[in-house]
Amino acid sequence: MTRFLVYSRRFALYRGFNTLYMTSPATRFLMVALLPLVWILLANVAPLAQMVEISFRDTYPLQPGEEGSYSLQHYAGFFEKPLYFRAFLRSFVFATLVTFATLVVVFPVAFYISKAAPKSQRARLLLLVVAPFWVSEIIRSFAWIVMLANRGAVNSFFGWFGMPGVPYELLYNNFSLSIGVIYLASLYMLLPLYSAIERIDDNLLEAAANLGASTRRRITRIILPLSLPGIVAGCTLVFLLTVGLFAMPVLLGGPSNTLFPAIIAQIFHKAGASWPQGSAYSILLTIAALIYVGLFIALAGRRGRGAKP
Amino acid sequence: MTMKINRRHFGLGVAATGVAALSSPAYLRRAYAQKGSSLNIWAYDGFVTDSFRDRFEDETGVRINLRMITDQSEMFNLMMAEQGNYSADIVSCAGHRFYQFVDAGLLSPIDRDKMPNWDHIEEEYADASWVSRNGEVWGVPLVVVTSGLLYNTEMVPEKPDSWEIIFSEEYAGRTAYQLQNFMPMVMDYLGHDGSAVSYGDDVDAAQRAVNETRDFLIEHKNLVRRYYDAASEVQQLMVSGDIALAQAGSGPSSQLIIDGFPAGYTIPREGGQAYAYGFNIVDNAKNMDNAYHFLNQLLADPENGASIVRATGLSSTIEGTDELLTAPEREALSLSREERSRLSWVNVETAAFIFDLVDKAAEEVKAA
Repeated sequence: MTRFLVYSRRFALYRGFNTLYMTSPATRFLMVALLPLVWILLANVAPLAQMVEISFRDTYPLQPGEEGSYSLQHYAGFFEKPLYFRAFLRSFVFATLVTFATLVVVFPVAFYISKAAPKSQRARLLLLVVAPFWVSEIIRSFAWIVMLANRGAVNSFFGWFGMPGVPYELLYNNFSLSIGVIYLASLYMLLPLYSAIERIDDNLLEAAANLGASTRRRITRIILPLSLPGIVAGCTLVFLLTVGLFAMPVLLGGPSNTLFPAIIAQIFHKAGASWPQGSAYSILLTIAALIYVGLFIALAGRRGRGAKP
Repeated sequence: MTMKINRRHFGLGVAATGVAALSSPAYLRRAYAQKGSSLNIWAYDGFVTDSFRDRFEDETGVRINLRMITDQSEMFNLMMAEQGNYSADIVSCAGHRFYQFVDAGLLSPIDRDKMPNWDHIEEEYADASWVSRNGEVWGVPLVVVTSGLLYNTEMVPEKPDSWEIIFSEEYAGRTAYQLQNFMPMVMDYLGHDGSAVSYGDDVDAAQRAVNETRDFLIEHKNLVRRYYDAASEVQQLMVSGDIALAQAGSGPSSQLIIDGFPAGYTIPREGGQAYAYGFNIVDNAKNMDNAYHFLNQLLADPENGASIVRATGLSSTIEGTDELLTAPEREALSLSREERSRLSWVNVETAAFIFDLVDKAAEEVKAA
């Protein structure tokens, strides 16, 4: 790298950039941040902005020669239809429960890897947990279908042991959907938790043990409060991922647990000018999810303030 | 003269080779394009078979870019969003939905003079209402589909005769249906008119019938295992033993039967539906000549129809196809005279009106 920099100094272009870079902090900021900012604007903000714009249209896509107008009818329509609101609420309740379940399942794993496992094994264990996530969400969903179907691996296993009532209906219900989503979301919980727990000073735990604190007391008074930033980050990521999840619920869910993103997708697929309705519902889902997560972070922040060592 | 290669030259050489290798798709594609041109087709799985595609590409040098579709509405919306600058040359419209594409100006009328093999289409399909509109023909009929009741013969020992069985407690949690496709048949089952012909312009009457059907389906939601979307999904549900009964198309049903799965397919007494799929040329298609050439070649040989039948399980409209099928294939595709009489062709003129209501109701059933 040093050789490259020394070699680069021969060129006028490099020298020009260098001089410009040193001009002022504002120029430095622009030079470093311009490309990422353009990327964020084009790839993230622009599509969202267009979706907001479409959500206020009365009709879209427009037929040739057709001129649309703007209205709030699709936002109003959402509140007028209790059926849509029910699916909307279902998504939030489901995402909340799944987030909590993921935390309960993943926390011991994260704690084991970051504190209990031998230091030499930690990287290997982390890799082992992360490895399944190199495979796409769709393929992992189909793996669950193969496992949980009436003639799948789980029912075959129960059948070999002569369990009564086999096959059990394990697929296309809340059970299969929750298992699949917890599995999908666990990585997003694991990494922040691992990072937070790893930072907890081992001396604190040892000191508490030496002073006679029980395991329960060490968990509730030291480990949980000090891993709160990881819990908040993990829960935020998992909730936002789950509330907008589409493919896995469509594959593993059943008629009684259709989530709101699937309804939005169906609205977009409907022939005709239904994009404004789908856009309005998407925007409502996004805003509600951000408010929900914002409240959660604020609440957790207030509780966490007193927990700093 | 000796040539000394130092580290710098070697590095530059490696970098140049890397850049050349990375950019090869661009110049190789350009070289191919100079030899022939391309044709962009949006079709359901099995409509363009590998054998026909390979032969067509070899003979003409035209490269086929195939995009799989699973849903008519999705295809319509994508084309509408392209605002006249269509990326497809040929699309696959359903007989009862093509009018939406025609009315939105998405299709080009077929010039039969450019298709000498048009006569190879079975006579009853060549001028059917589901390819004609405003005095023009808008597509090449390809396959005929029926929608009826698929059942596992081991789990359902007696051949069912009514849709009632799909709502019975006996098979609770072991049924599946495609909500939008099934709703008109449930309307018939409940004594309404699924084709909506009898409602004329009385939208309120049709809306009442659709609402009642919607409420009935919501009430019986606890009995259904799955609302499925793709045809392959119902096959997977049957094979995995998750369902015993399903409303299904003739394609996936006959494929299961041909493959030796213990399945039967029937049209219940309350009725089933029939419709067709065709290939349609897009308005101002960028590769118009290639599109006509493709369609003409497709109709040239009944073997093309037979290979589509084998790939989709659907009946072909190309003359002479039946004679190329094996006896089990013919049997799997056939329906009794009584069952055929229970079929109603989806009415092209009223379809728009009823499908708008049905699409909305299906959303509500899912959301409930």
